[in-house]
Amino acid sequence: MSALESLSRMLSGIAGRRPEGNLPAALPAAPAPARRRPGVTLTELMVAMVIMSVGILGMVGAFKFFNVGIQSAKTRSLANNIAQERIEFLKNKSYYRVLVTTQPVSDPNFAVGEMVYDLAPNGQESVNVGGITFIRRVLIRKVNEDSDKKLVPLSWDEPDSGLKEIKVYVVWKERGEWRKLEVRNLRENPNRVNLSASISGNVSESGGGALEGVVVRAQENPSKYAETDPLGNYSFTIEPGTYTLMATMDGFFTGTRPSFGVVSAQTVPSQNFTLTRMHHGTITGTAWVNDHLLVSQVVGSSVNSEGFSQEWVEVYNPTTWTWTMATGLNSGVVGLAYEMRNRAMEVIPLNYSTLTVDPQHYYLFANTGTVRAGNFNRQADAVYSNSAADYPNIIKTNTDPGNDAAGVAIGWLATLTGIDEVGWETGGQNPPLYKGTPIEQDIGLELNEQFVRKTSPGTLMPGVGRAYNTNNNDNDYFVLSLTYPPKNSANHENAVSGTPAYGAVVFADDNLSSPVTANSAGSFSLTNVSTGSWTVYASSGLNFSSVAYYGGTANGFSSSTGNLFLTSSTVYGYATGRVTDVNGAGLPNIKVFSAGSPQATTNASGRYTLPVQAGLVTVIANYRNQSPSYVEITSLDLTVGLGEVAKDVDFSLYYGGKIRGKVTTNGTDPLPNIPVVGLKNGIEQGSGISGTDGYFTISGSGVSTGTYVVMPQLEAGESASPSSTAVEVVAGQVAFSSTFTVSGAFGSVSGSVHTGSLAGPVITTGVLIYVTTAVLPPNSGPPTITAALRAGIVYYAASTNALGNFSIPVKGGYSYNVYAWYTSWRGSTPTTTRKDSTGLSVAAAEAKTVNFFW
Amino acid sequence: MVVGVMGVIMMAAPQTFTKVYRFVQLLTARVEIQKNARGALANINRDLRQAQGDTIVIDSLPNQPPHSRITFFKYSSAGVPVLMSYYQQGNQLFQARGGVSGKMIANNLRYIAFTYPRTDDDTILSISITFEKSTYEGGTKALQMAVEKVRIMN
Amino acid sequence: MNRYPAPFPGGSPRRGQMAIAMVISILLFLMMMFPIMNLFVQNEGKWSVKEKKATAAFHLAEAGVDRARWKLMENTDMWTIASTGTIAGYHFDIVYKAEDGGTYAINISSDPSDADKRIVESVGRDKTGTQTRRIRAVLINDNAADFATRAVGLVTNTGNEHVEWGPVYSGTSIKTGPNINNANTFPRMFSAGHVDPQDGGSTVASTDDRSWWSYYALPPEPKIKFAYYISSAQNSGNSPCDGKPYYDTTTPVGTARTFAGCTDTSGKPYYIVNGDIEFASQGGGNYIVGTVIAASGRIYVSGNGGGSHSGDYRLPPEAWKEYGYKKDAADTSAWDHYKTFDTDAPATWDAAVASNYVATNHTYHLTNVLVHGFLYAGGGQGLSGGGNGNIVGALFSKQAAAMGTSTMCLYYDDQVTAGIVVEGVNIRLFSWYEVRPEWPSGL
Repeated sequence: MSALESLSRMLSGIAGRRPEGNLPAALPAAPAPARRRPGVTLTELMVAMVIMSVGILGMVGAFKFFNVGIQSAKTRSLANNIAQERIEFLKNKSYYRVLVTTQPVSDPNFAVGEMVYDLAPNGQESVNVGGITFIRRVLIRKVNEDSDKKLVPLSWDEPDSGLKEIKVYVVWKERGEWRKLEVRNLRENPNRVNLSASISGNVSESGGGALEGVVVRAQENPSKYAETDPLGNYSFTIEPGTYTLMATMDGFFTGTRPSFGVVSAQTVPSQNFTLTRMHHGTITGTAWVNDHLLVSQVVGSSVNSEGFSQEWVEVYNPTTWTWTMATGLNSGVVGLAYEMRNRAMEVIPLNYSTLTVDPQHYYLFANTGTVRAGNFNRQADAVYSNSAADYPNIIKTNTDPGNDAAGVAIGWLATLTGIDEVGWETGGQNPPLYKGTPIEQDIGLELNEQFVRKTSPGTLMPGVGRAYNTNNNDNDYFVLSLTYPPKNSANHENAVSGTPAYGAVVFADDNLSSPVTANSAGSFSLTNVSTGSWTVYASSGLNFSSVAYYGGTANGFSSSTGNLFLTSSTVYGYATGRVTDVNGAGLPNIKVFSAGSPQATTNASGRYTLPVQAGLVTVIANYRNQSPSYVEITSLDLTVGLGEVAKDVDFSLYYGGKIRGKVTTNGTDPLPNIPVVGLKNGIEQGSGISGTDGYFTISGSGVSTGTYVVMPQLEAGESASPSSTAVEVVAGQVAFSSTFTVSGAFGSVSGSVHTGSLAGPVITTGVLIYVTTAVLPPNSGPPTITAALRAGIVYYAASTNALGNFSIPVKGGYSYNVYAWYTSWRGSTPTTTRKDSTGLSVAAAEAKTVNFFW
Repeated sequence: MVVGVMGVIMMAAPQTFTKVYRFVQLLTARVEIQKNARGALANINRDLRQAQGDTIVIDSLPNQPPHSRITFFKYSSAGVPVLMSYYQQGNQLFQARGGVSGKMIANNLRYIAFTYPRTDDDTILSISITFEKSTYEGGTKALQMAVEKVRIMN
Repeated sequence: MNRYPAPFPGGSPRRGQMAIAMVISILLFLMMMFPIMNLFVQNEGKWSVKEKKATAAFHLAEAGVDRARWKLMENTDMWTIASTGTIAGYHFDIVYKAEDGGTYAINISSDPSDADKRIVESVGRDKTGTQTRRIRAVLINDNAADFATRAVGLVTNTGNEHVEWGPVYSGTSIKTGPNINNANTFPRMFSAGHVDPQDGGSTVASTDDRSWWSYYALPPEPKIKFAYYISSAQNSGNSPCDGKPYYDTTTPVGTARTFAGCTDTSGKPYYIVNGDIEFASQGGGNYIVGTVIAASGRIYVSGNGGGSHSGDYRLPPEAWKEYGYKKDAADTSAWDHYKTFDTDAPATWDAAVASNYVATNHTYHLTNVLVHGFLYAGGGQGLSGGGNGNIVGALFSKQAAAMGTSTMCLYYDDQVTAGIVVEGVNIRLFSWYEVRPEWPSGL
């Protein structure tokens, strides 16, 4: 029996169509056909359907997987090709035409620091291949080898080291996620100026021995430096030039040596330094945060001379700004509420006679217009309205029936959110409103009893603002019989405490000490602070304060800042450092800037503290050459957290000026996009690119003073007249170099290819395009390219891309013929047809369009 | 009822079968194309980089698309110059080494062209290559174009 | 009761089986295709990732080559250090890590056959370590002196063959032999003007691509670092031969410092500031090892110069290149001459070219050796005079060079020219190719 038949039998059996049990032996043949039931039962069919659908559903998922797998392999391959193409293109350019990134930006679609790329001068481009749009980006940086032979990046405005790092990124979006592919390479300057000079010397401490670990740096070329060894000796090689040396080390005043010149193959020995150690001491203090109103006194009942049971709540404003309590007599902004255990919260209706409370002043809520306590008569700022239930006895005391644990709160009436709360126990029960631990009370708030907030940890001093707040009622309040009369909005008392700024970062801008954090009581001890006068900053990430403090003169000094109040909010981190000139002298009034935050100016000794955005930032000293005699210098990337401080972001500004010039095609008409470099002693100090008006500036941040050779960097085949000029750069001046006339500059020929007609569908498989001044015989193919042909007339060529477009740069000033060959196939037989467009004249910097169709 | 269900199956099954078959064909075509494009370009790239720039000749086999053949000497890994050639014949890509006749390294080739962006700069060469495979019912579906620039190092 | 149930009304008896048959066949088909398709897709994925890694590795290797070139230009000593020693970080001693995790290592070494070349090898590896690519680049110093005789002016090389193993350069013209039949057939001659008589008087650049080039773009003159030789001579004191100083300011213009019977193998350089240098035959002969510089004078040999030394000298590995001349198709005289010194050489000069032949461990015996070193004549010419003197090394003349003595000979020694101290290096890429991707052991 076949498999299918037995399957059918099985199914019949399952369906219950069993033939009858005992068959007479006389009918042997009959039962057999009876068992083989023809047709299909519903059950069989259902089972078949189930099997099939399971199979098919499984398939569908797998198909999707296959498609995704293939697609992602394809995009990866294409991205790889695209990245490689760009690297080859860049590495083929002459060294100075590989432009260093001056404006790096970060792509927010990737993790911080993972996708930093060039916004200017290279920019990004969009490449469409295989139906997918890729974005191709670059990041080019100057790099140099350090003493460990690692490559470290340099800032773009530092003198050129002869080696550039090229990174090409290709990003694309696949299935909703951004992906990237990265290729990196290096490009060296074949005309690198040899580090043929060498500088060496010894550093010791005044009155002491050799110093190890001192960094001796050539100011004009900051990537050239050395560290002293255990004997205090250092030595490094450098390109010939004129240099000022500076020796720096933490804990010592910097030493400098006057500027001297070094020529090729010269060794300048004995550039010795003697450094003076900085003395240091300790600064201590306490940091407090005061950012909201506090309930400073609660009295439940105090009978005045007329037998009226007064009650009041006094509120203190420890912040530095004025709070609006109400906008009108009955329009409250901040209100008062009372809640007793097992009862609903009662927002007390008030008549506001004073609308605001000034900084460091009080505000008095009471159930009567004038509060009399002892010899005092105090006007209430807000009086209970007699519409209040239980008026005038809202805050219950132990003499009131049903007295229980309760609390009082001030809060925003619009949203009913609390600003501050104080609650007290009664009979072991917790109140519904309190902060931390409720005030411990046995019988609750008593007659003539007051809860008064402390003025400092553990004490209550008259005349001082009642502002001590650890957010713990039991800890923050004293329970007294009526001792302290209430104050109102006319009373001013300065606070000497607040909420301890636990965890606040405290730092000084002396470049020696390290930041510390305040402890749970808000106090801090900043050690290793240099002698001198510094600014101490405290920041809790959201609140910030600063105080200028005179540190001390003797070694081992100890002084206190007293109380620091963090009252202004901030959303920044900080960078501190010093701006000096090449001789190490501090430069005052230099503008220091970082994107996204307010700028700062250096103080008399050149120090600054600059708020910066949290994250990856750069700091720029002498922003926009506001002090035109000096250059503008940009730091390397810093990572700063919110409220944290990055120390030692120092700058050494050298005298600088700028060079300006014009690039033209004929002496008048501008030629944009030509890079121009300024070389001093053969080392590139800065570069510029001619703009649409033909003018260029070397460079935006200023270049050091001296004699420069200014050279346009041209593509092969272009030539400039004059090919270079010499110009002298003087501090603070813009020197004009020359008007360069570039001949042979390039224009371009672009276009698209279609089938059918010019408006027809584009050809996506590739068309060969040639642009040349030569004339090809009619209907011939392109000439065979050999070494001999390459030595003759120039042919420019390209293949069209996947979108059917082409763009070919050609030398301007000629009349060109454009030829295009398209191959169509029948099976494996090709037929190539040529189309011509002759007599196209292209001028320098001009873009002409030619379209073809077959 | 069973007849009805059977009827549905009878109509659906062949269509499903056909669709599945088409998908498989398309998938294998795409895979093949991609493999061709990647492999061919990587090979040509690698060899061209080591070519001796002044020995490069670009032309084509007779009756083949223009500039679809490149011939050059490259340095082998022993430092000895070796003659290499890549050319298109029909829709196949051949690689010839040492002057002997070529070996096919990819088919379904639609377009290959070797171009100098400018012939007076012989240090950079551009290669553009397109593979195409026809699938069901005569519609050419799978298409892969790849472009590369190669610096000639010697 | 009817025991045989009625047959199913209508329809073929095997219909049920067919539906199931179709289902099963579809499923079977899929079951077979799936693993295949899965294999395709997985392979595609694997290969495309492999390609990406290989590309990353390649670019890192290339970055290493460029970095080595940058380092070699760091100062003028780097090139020299690399020939006999190693540069820290650049002899496969440090693995450099790129930011994305890939690694590369660099090695700079000297070329075993050509002292003016350095071999840079750089290995790159992607961050998973599975793909490795290795590139070898050969760099050559164009500023190197690699000539047997170079003169800024006219070179006359008539009479017997006078220069072996190394080429002759002239900034003006080369005259060799009165006519084509007895013109010298070796070595190679490069002239910025005529090569007489081979060029037939033509005033455009011409060559036979084997042994002579006229109107040729000569490589730039090497800039000899005289400061080095001056200070070295000043520190060397007095010559043991005649007691006069190595750095000689006393011999006036027009007179000669005469070497007669002088054997000085110390290697210290002679630097005669104003006068000429004369090699004379009295006193038992001369043998000087080292550099001999007549800064503004001329060098000449009187009598037979008294070359006194005999010894075996190293045959430069690429000496065979000078012997390609063929007067006509049947002429093998030049190559046959070379083969007498090097029996391992290939059968023809063309065969040696095709196989990049390098002669190793060959020596030749010479008698009457006068100088083994570098001769520099700031004025006039050298080597006119009698016979029986051989110079092993190289000769540079700032004026003309006449080599017309009957049996004087100059044998090029590439080790001498590699030791000539020059100002600055002019490094050029000579060849670049990929080699087997092996990560160096021990890294």
